Amino acid sequence: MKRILMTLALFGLVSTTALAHRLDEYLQATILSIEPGSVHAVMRLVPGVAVAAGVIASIDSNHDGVLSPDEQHRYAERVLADLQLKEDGRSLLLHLASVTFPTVDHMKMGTGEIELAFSADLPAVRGEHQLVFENHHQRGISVYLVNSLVPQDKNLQLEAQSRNQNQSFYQVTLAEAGSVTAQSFTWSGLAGAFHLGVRHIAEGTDHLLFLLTLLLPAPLLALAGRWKGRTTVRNSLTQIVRIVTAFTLGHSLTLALSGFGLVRLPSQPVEVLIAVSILVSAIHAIRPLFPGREAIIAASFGLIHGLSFASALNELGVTGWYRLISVLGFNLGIEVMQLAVVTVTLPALLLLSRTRFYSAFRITGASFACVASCAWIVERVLDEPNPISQGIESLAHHGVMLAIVLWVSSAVAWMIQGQDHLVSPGSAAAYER
Amino acid sequence: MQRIALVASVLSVGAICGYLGAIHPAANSVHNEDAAAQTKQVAQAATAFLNTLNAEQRQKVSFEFTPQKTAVIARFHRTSDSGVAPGAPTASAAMKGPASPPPGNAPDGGKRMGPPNGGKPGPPGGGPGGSGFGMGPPGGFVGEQYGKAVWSNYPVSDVLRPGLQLGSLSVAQRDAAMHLLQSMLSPMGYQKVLDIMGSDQALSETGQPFCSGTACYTVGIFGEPSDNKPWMVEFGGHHLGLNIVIAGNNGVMTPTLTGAQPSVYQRDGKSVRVLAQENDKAFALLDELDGTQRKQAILNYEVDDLVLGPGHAGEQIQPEGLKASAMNDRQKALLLDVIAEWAGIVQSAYAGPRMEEVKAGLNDTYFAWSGPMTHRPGQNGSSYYRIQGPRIVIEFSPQGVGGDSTMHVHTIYRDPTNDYGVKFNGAE
Repeated sequence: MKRILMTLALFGLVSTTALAHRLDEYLQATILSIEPGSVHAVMRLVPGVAVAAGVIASIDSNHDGVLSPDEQHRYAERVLADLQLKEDGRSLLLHLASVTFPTVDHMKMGTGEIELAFSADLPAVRGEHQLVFENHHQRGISVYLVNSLVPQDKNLQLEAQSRNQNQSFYQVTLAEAGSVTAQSFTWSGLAGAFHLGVRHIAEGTDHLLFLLTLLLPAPLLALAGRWKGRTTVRNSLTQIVRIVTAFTLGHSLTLALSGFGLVRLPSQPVEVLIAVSILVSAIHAIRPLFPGREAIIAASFGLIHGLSFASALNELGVTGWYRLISVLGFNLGIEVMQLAVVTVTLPALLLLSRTRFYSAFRITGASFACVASCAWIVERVLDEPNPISQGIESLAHHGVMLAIVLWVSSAVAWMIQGQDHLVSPGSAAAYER
Repeated sequence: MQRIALVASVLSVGAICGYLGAIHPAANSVHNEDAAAQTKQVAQAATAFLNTLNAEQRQKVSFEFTPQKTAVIARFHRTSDSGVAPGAPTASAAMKGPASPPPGNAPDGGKRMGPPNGGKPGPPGGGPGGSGFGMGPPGGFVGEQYGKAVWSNYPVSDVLRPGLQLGSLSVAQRDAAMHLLQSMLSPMGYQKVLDIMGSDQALSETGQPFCSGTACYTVGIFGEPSDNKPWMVEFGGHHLGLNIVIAGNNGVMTPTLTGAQPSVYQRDGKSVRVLAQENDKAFALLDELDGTQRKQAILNYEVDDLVLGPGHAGEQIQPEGLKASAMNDRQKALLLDVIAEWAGIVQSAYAGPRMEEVKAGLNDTYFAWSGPMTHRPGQNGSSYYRIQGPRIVIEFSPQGVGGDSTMHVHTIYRDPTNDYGVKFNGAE
């Protein structure tokens, strides 16, 4: 009986208010104002009459029927936690600017509008940037809208915009004066694409990690399914050059193919495969899976990474001659940055590989890559960030620091090794056994 | 066969020329004379309406006209007697970006939106307008306020429009009010308003807990009706917000909200489909696009509400869709045809110059579509579309709330550079 009454009451409510207002959806409309240096956003949240009770209950944590300023503020922070604003893949910190709440009664009727305003700093760099806004708040019941205002600053232009079906994902290309546009002169176009390539590697944690993981066992010899002993410096170097060249050939091929629209693949599976490639090379660094065939593996994984590079290049949205210039410049940028990373880490790696600490270092590094790649796989399959992937992302901001730590620790390891030699001279190769 | 095609194309070009000719008289001087005569007529009709009112009514219907650079978001709360706090929003926010100073008479608690380069963002938890419970009057419904004028897509009982409701007027007073409307609007525009009111009337007869039906439509006059000084008429209710600023030879009807629910209803035994032309002409344009053009025009995502509804005056979002510069002349004419459904609501003396403004920016005007590419005959479609150019924003947004989105639609019509006629009402 109670249930019937409730049904009737609900029906009454629905039939009288349904005609004017949002019913079973939670409207969340966001307008972004992007200006050099900062993003400001205003978000209107309107729970429909049929979902309002649930939304109110989730805000009213002490269930007293009143939404206290504290509860309002905590709810706003919770909404913010469900949002993501990223510049070139880097999460930006959102600052809550203001919260405005309607009465509980208005919300129950499906007409109350909550308004949140928040902002984030945009690291000011000239050139081209990808800004991504994601809203996953109450995804089961929500209707999302998101748009950007035309910037007031004429030096900043918004270019390609893309969204998924329900607008929970939104991406816009920002071009600040001096960046690559179809109108720009060939040379500056080349330079711009080159910089984009450099940045893509510098900020593409996954590509870097893949490369470094693949290099980890390069100074070693595989024997009977284990990493045993080390090869000569000359052999290590040859091996590394082969791996890097193979990777370059692989990704250049697919980058060129998809850069000119000859190959087109959805980005999600490609991104997942990239994470898988890291996992495979991490396992290989622990136990040799494909000893001696690293170059072939690097080339085939390079094919996958190239597809991902191409999607970054797509955002340039240029055609014809400029496309050619862009592909060329972008690829050069990638190579230069890759070589720079290898040049910086290689000596430290070779040095470290001459010590007995290398085994521990290799296992630690490979395990880290394992964890990171698994977190990325989960993130990319579910299309939702997780604490591990976010942690790695923030760790990656300190790339220079990590390189210094690597250098210092390899130097220290070498010195300790040197003293050991004095005490007990012996075959260094034995340390890897 | 070729001959038929030739004749048909000549005829259609002729028809387009004829159409273009009809919506704007050739010479500017003719415009100005027409417009001056038009403004005189409107001012007379407004004065005549005011003369039918008693002193108390005149006080209720007349407000100051206070030109501002931009409108504000107004929030309203329901009072204990289930009315709303009259004309007084509980919080408001300036809607413009960094360049604009805070509006002259923004009520206390005014909070700036957008990039606060010129002001600090409000404290977390909301300022005075942040409406904590037990912390003063909370906000609720959202409307757009310009000076003393307020409009919204919410019913009149939720967001009170300043002025007199038709239901409170005698027959003679009501006739005078409708005559004022008729003097400002084209025959097409006036009929559109009647159809929208009729739809709301049909809705009210199904029994609604909010103020709906013809009696709730409200007229307000801001400033003195004048041949040369700026003044404004606001007329609206649920699903209608007409804001007409008149300043000498200029008559501006942006922003205006139209809408309908139910979109199809019976009047005198005949079926009326509200905003049918807005729907059908847009489908006609879509049908005329080729595959490549459609690819650009059709958005790959859903748009379930107005983006630039009440509270978004002067905002220009990053445009999307098919640029009219990539349309052929016939398609451009069809696009103008759609736009004329809004621009042509006012009398031709005002609509002519308005269409010129739109045409001047036509090549930079975008047409974007989201939703099915067909609609059932005799019904509006369930597809959203947006037309956006340097001087125009139009959104047609079927509302998928609680049932059939083909039966409920909201539309908005703006000029991001000249809402409320800021270009000549003295605000700039």
